[in-house]
Amino acid sequence: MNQHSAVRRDLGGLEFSREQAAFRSTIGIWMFLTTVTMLFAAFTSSYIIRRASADWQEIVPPPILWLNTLVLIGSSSSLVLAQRGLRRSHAVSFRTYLVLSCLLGIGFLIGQIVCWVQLSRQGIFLPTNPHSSFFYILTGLHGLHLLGGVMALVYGTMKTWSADSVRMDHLFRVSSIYWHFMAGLWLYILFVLFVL
Amino acid sequence: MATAHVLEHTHTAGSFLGRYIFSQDHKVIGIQYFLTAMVMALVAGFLAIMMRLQLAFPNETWPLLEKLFPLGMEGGVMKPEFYLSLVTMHGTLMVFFVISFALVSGFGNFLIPLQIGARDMAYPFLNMLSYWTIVPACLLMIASFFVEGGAAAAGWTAYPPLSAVQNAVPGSGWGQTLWLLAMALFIVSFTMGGLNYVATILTHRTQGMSMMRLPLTIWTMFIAAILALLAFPALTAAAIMLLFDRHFGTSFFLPSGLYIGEQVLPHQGGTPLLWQHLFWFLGHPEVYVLLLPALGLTLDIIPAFTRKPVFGYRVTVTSLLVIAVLSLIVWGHHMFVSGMNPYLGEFFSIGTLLITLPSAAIGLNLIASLWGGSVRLTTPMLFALGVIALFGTGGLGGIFLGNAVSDVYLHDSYFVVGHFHFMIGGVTLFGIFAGTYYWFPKMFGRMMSERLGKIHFWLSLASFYGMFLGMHFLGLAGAPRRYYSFTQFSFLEPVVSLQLIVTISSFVFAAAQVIFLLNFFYSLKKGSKADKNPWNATTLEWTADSPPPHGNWNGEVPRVYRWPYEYSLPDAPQDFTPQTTPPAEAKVTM
Amino acid sequence: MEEAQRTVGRQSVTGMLLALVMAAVPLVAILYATHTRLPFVASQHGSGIDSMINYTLITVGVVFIVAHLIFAYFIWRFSRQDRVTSRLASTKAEWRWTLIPVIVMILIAEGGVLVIGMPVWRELYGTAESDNVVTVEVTAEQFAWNVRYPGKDGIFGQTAPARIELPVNPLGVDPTDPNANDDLYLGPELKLPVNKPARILLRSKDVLHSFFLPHQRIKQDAVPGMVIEVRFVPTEIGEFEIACTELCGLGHYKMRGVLTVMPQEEFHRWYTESTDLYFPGE
Repeated sequence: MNQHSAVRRDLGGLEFSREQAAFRSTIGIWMFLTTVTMLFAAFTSSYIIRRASADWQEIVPPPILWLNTLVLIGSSSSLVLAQRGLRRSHAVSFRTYLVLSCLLGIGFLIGQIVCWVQLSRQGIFLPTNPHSSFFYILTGLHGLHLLGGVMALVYGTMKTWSADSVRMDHLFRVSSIYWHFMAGLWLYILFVLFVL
Repeated sequence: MATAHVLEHTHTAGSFLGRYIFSQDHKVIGIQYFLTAMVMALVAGFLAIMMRLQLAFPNETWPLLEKLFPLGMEGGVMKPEFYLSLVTMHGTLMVFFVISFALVSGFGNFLIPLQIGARDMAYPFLNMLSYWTIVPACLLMIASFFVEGGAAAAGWTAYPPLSAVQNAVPGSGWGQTLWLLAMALFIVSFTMGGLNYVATILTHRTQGMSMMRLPLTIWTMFIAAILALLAFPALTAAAIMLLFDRHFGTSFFLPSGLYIGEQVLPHQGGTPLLWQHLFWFLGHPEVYVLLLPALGLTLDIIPAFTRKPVFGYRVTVTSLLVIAVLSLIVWGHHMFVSGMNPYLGEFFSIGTLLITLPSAAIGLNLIASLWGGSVRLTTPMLFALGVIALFGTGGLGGIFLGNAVSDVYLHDSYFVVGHFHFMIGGVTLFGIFAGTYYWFPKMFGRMMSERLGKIHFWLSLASFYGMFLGMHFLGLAGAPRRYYSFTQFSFLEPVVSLQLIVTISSFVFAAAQVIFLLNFFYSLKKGSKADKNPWNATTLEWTADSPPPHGNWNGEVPRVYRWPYEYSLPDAPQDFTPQTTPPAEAKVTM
Repeated sequence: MEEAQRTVGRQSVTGMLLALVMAAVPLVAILYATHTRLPFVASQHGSGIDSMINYTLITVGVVFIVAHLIFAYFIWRFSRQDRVTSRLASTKAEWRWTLIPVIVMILIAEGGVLVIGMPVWRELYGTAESDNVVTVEVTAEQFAWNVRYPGKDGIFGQTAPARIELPVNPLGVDPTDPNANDDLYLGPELKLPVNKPARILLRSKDVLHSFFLPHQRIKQDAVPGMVIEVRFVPTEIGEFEIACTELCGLGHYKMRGVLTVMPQEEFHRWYTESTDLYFPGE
């Protein structure tokens, strides 16, 4: 409440206060996540319609997929710990957990590629059947979005050693919203592909 | 409360390159979009003229055109597949690369910070990126005319299987691929723009500028941006799946047993209707993304030339919001005869016609805004009145099409073509012209010629009716759209002569636009100098210099004390009271 | 002061002109309308569609004319005054005035759909009784219509795209299927008996098409991978045209078929004695 009234009081100047900049980037990231949601909603409805066809065949996901899922959840949790470190102004734990989160994120991406390789070794390719088409496209799109998140996180991590803490603060907040959203999105994709 | 300022400067102006080419200034970007739209309009308009030539004179040869399109116009005779490319590309370019650019991206970028009292957009760099993403998109679209098979030819709606199978029509080769790539770039760019609009309007309003004090232009841009953000992802998903169907052997839209080019295709189990659902989930809101800002500009221009507030500001804002919500759930009215479940047809029909209620309310507010005013018929006002007229006719025509029963007969006929040209061709184009004549002094610091402007208006208005009012009746007579010629059917004989009227009108319309271009570029150099507020208007942009400097206001950003329609206040010294006038000097209405 | 008067004078000429043009728009529309004929109606539900169109033409036409006259009057009236006579209506008044167009639209648009439209839509798409109908299969392809009847046994021979062989087997009918032996094939010519329900099974071999019978007020897309049922009752004897109204490729504009509606006995005679077999050799 307080924060918002501060934003409203002094806008449009050459300088933004910390709250204004934070408000702006929060709006931006949530609007962007809305479009991401709509994109995957469009794929979900296509998936449901397409599944009604007679040629539908379920593929069995390679087990590494579950490992990847754990890695991504780990990455997201580690980011939560980093956030806590930041709140308590505990620089060491903040940086350690941040780096861990990045590494796990990169690990997830590598794991996804391994998963693709394993599937293609089984002879399941993109056009093999509709389920595999959706699998490759959805994991691929999610991977691309995640790659963007990894780059933001890595950039942020490098900045923690140089930039001033205030600027760092909202960059970090925005990328962690994005990162948690991507983890949630991954669980959603798994649900659509293998549970629904 | 921490008020420690973080010195986060908006970008500085910089060198020539930074100032005019890779500028992050919202005004420069807006004008860049505007000029790009002009170039694309020339291309798309030229395509339309070629279509009209073919329809009015199906047996003539055009040796000159053969020089430009040696394949499509072999021997000077237009090939049917080339005609389909013209139809497709005219529609695509006009909807996405002309109207969207000029109206939403052009005026949106230029006006939003100026009207809400901000130094720039929320994300200036993203804004520049958004412009430079559409430049390759434009080039890809134009280049597609010169690849093997020619430009895309499956209509701007790109329904598969026609758009998915390479040899279903010549344009479905490389042309369609380039079309999809260019559309993908367009969507990326538009998404960046939309994010910027929403964030800017929500966070960068100056002190005192509450949401209910926003000019209606800003309201419509705000709603259009949200609609675009919600609707465009559906087309992104569809375009990705279509690309995969075309090039990587998947079967999202392609059913089993397609027999094309004397062979059975290997695809299995896809559903062509899926594309239509996804496309129209975008396509219908897109109509409002274009239409609403045109109405917004009009609603802001009218009070400056009636010297009184708009009628029903709150009603209009409410109606705009209702239209936006409804527009997301009525896409099925494009599919009444597509083979979709007929019960859905009834649902979509009732939903669609609900849109007539808020639209009619806006129509009433537009007309009632004239009541009791002192109407001054300058060129921008003439075009604004044109918007009202075209919105009325177009809207009433929609009642025929939103009704599933009459649509059984009228679907995919010239009635549809006439209807949507009134709405997303006429309302938007006249809105753009009204806006151009009105804000030209702010953009370039000079006035446009009123005399040429009036000639432009009269010719445009008359020829517009000549083109598109007649098309409604062509449609009632049964003429299907996207026909290369009307000579093959005896029930279409009455249609042929009407086509000549439409073609002649289209020449007049094109000539009128040449006058506009002359006026534009002549006034740019030789127009009389404009002062800060040549129309005696109330909104914030008129408190800035013409053209506004980098950062928009020298000194402090103005503070706002009132709504933007404070004309003819009884106790005020002038007949207009700018939003910046403090309450001590004149009573505040809102 | 003089300057101002001159401006108002010039204004009112432009205002008068624009008012005249706006008042003339409905006149032009009426002129067009009196010169436009829908193809005459030749089916049972067709008159329902026509009454829907006519109802809308008349009601919307009235709104169209009235709105233009009001608009023209406002332009003419208010471009002649140089000061504002009515500034701001109260919020209440604004909402009250808004009710007028809203109620008009509820009556015209929604009323039309619910009262006139719905029954016609049901007639067109509702499932009617299935005996005593003539069943025909119409298969669209780039750029022709293929008409097939099940023959005396009332059962179509099985088809499969893989068996398509031009020109002897354009639909890919299974020659070993005994049901196929009496299938009749007419190419682009559709024959139907008058006043008897026709049931058309619409299919497509390649891309989207749309089956348009202008006189019968039938328009239905043909979608590959789907069999879409179209039902109507032709009420007029004669020869009619079939056109395609969904963009299907470069020959879209000349994808012509012919519908012949004949007296019931004549149709029956043709149907039982016809030699237009799908496999003429057998």
